[in-house]
Amino acid sequence: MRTRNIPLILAALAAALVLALPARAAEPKRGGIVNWFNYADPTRLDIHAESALAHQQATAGVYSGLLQHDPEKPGEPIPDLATSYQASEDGLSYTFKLRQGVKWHDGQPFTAKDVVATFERVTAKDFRSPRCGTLVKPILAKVEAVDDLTVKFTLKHPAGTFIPSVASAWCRIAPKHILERDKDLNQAKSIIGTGPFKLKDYKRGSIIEWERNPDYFIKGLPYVDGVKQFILVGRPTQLAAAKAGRVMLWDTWPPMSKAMAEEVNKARPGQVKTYQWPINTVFLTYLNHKRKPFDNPDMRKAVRLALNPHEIIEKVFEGVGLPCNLLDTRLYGDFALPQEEVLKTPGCNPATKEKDIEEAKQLVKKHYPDGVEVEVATRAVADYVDRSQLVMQQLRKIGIRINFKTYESAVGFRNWGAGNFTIISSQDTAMVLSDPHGMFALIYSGDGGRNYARYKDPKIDELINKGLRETNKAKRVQTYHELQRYILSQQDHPSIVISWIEGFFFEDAKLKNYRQATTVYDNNTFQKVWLDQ
Amino acid sequence: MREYIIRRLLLFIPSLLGVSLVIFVLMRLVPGDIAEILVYSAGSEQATVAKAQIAKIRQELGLDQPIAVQYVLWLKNILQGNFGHSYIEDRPVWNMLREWFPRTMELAILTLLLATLWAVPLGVVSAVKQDRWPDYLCRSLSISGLSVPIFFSGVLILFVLVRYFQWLPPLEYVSLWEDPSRNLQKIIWPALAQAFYISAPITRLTRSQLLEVIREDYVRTARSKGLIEQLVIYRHALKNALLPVVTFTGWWVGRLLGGIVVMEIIFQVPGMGMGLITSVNNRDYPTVQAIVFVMAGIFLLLNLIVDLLYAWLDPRIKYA
Repeated sequence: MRTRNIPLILAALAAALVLALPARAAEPKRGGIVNWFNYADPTRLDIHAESALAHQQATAGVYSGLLQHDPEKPGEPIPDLATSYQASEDGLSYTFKLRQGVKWHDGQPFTAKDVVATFERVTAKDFRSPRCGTLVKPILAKVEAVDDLTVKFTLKHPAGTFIPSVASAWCRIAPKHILERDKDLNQAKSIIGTGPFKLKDYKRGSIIEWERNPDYFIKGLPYVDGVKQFILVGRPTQLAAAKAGRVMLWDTWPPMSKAMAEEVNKARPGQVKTYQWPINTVFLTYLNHKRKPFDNPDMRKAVRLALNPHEIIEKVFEGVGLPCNLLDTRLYGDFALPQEEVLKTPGCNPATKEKDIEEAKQLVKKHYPDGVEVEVATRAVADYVDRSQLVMQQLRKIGIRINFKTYESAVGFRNWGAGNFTIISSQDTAMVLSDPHGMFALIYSGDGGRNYARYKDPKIDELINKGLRETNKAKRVQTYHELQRYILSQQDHPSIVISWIEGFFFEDAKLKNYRQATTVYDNNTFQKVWLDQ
Repeated sequence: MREYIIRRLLLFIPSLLGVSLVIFVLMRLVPGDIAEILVYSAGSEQATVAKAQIAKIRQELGLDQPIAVQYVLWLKNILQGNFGHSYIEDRPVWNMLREWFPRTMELAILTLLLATLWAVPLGVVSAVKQDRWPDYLCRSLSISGLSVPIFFSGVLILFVLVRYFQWLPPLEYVSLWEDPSRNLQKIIWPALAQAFYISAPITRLTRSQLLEVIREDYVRTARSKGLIEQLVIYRHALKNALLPVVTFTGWWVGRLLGGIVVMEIIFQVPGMGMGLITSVNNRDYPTVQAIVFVMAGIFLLLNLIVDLLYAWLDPRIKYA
């Protein structure tokens, strides 16, 4: 009996071994090149002075930060060049201990002086630093090297955004000796980092290549030998490269549509993984409250009631997106109000939409019995015109006649910045941090760079400041909830959130351990990515 | 002849000045400049800070000066061989042109070569087999070449390569001298797409010219002498029929430069066309001006070459 069972036992063992194989296969393998693409030619490479993803992406794997977003748990700041940090009790100073023995790619030793030079550069009065500078300039009072391996930051006031800012992909540390030698980091010769990869080559308009840094301070990383970023500007070319298997992932802006993702899947069945992911980008409609007819609060309220974010998401975004919420629940967690609560606000509840439209009609009729003609404008980029068609269709229902204008991208920005519009039907803003302060400081504070409506509300500014200065998370959550509830209760607020955007992406089945970050900018270093080939 | 060439070359100066003035003024009539694009597209600065930054960038780049002053300064620099400094690439425009120009020229020459090699024989077949099926086929091909927009044929080529051959040209640009095989694998497709477009009018013109010439008395005489048909066509008729085709092809090369912009973007060839689009989008005035200046120069030069070629091909034409 026992002997007869032996084949069975062997078969079971074999089966167990087979089942165990995937687990063994999950052990990282070394070697290979990740083929990726950049949606634009960055031309200038100075990460501290630029603002587009194309620039950040170009050198992402070359630099390290004091902190970084955990490549395996996106959104969590973890030490990178720092080994640890300590905040003072009053939240006014932070002391970072740095790694020992780290070398720049040119062999020079990394010290606290490099950290000081970097932060002094981005906060300098005459230096334009639209990302890192904008994050830290308002809060940083002083940065000093205590010794070669210790840096102390003194803040102007406690700030909940300080740690996320230091971990941001835009606040990477640059070498003091290169900054002194070259004055800027625009050219490839100036791109010297401490990161997992060295910049091997940059052929303008064609390719950016990184090669493995054998002296990387985390032994054994990175796993791949290099990364190639092909510069693919046209959408058809990007899609063709994805379908032909010439690029291994699509994690760039703009994301793929559902139809594109399906096309890639169909072209490479079983060889790719496609998925949806929020891109920390919010789509708003802005009303100019200094121009007729939106100088009238009733008219602003009418627009809010008439707009139907659910319909826009369904028809333009192929059903994916988060309507109305001031923060994306998936990216901002506890800071965001529950979606069920947000959907109860007037204009956002699908169940009462007909009633909302009726009320909006009455409001327009009260002030403009024969209806009113309004200029609706958008920039002719991405799917903005498609979205605008729906926005206009919804406004027509309440008696607003439309005169539609499209602007070339730069001209549009110029007009928005100068307040030269009546309605901006569609404008996205990508967040640099997954901290709630970014959204409110940019779009709702009186002097915010994306507050195109130029609407100032002292209570909103006060709550934004309170949220920024609070370092206790539970109290911050409370403040941001209060702020969101207040904004949502202002039915005549001229900046109207339509939706948080989600996109479709793909990864080659061979690409392992890659995670999308909570902003489009973070986690592009390929530090822990490996290829199963 | 020498006087003629010198006179034509001297005529380049006012033509180029005119072009430069038009593009200089037009670029500045388009709303938005590099300073606004840099600041507003980031959109992260506070409104008051943004305004101060725009003023500062304009001052740094000399954009706060009157247009006339900017134009004179630019001209002065051009005369000294200085095309200026690119705002977006932060390097001399001359260095950029040196990289881009050979790539665009390679694409243009290959396009022209393919178009001529394809269009002239097609036109000949069409004329010789007039109103028979080869003629209908050639005419259909040339009409489709004319009616399919150039960007569409480019995208179609990409689609067919991926869909039916699971293959795509190399994504990275390699120069002809570095790796001729990889270079051609990349360049041949935009050249084919563009050649398909420009070959259409050349085919039609070759056909109509040849039809006219083969009815001439001297061709009849050649036939009556007992010469075989191929000799009659190629030695006697075609040489004369091709004269207007040469002029026409030269003129089309000018138009080709416009199409190259689209092809370079679809097939990722980092040449002058791609540079032009990026520079226009970013209002990089020195680069746009330099590219247009060079393109206009090429156009004028081509016209001169065509005229001289015409005289060489037809000894009856004399230039005083």
